[in-house]
Amino acid sequence: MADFDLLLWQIAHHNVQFFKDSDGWFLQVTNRCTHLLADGRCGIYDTRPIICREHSTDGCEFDGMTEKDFDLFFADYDALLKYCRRRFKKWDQRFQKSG
Amino acid sequence: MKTIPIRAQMTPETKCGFCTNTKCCGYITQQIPGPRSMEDFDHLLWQISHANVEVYKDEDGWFLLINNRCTKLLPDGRCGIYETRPQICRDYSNDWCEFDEPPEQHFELYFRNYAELLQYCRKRFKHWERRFDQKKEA
Repeated sequence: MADFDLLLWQIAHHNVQFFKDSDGWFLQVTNRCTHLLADGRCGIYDTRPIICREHSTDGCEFDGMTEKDFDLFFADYDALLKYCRRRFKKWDQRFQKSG
Repeated sequence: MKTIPIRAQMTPETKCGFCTNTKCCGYITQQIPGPRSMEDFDHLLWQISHANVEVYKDEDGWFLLINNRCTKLLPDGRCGIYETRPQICRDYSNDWCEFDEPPEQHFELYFRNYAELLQYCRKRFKHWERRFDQKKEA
C-alpha cells in the first residue's frame, strides 16, 4: 500500500499519469517539449535525441492511444485512487494502523 | 500618526503561512538509474527537453525533478485532501524546508535545462558530437 500511496502523491501533480505495459510501470509526464517551434517542427532536428529519431509515425499518438495499448492506465489521482480501493480491502484504513 | 510595528512570530505552526508560493507542493521527484553511457545521457536530454523537467544527483543518486504543482492545492495554499493526503506529505517536516534553503545546495550535480545537461555531456564524452555517426557505422 505504501508504494501506491507514493504513486498517488506523484499523480496528484499536474500533467502526471501512470501506465503499465509489457515493459513495466511508467511515470508519464505530459509537459511539452521546449524545442518545439511554433509551427510544430523540431527546433533541434539535426541534433535531436535518439528516442526522437527512432519514433515512428506508424501507429503513433495521432492514431489514438487506447486502453488496449496498456495493461493499466491512470489518467489522474481519482482513477488511481479507485484502483487502490479495489486492490486493497483496507485502503481507507491505511493511516490508522498504529491506532 | 504613529505606526506600531507588529512582528509575527514564526513558529512551526505558522511558518507555512510565510511561505507565499507553497514551495513544497510544487514538484515531484522520481529516482532514475544512474546514467553511464552516451545513450543514457541522450535519453536524459530528451526528458530534460520538456518544460519544467530538471535533473539532479545527490547522495541518494540521480533524480528527475518535475516542477509541476499539486492539483490538490487550494488557492490559499492549503491542502484540498488534508485528511487523506499521502504518507510523504504527512512525513514532511517544515523544520528545515525549501523555505529556509534552496534544496540545490545539497545537490552534487544539478541540470536545470537542456543546455546545461548538454554542456556536461560534451565535457564528459570526448566523442559526444559524433554519437549519431557511430551508431550508423555500427
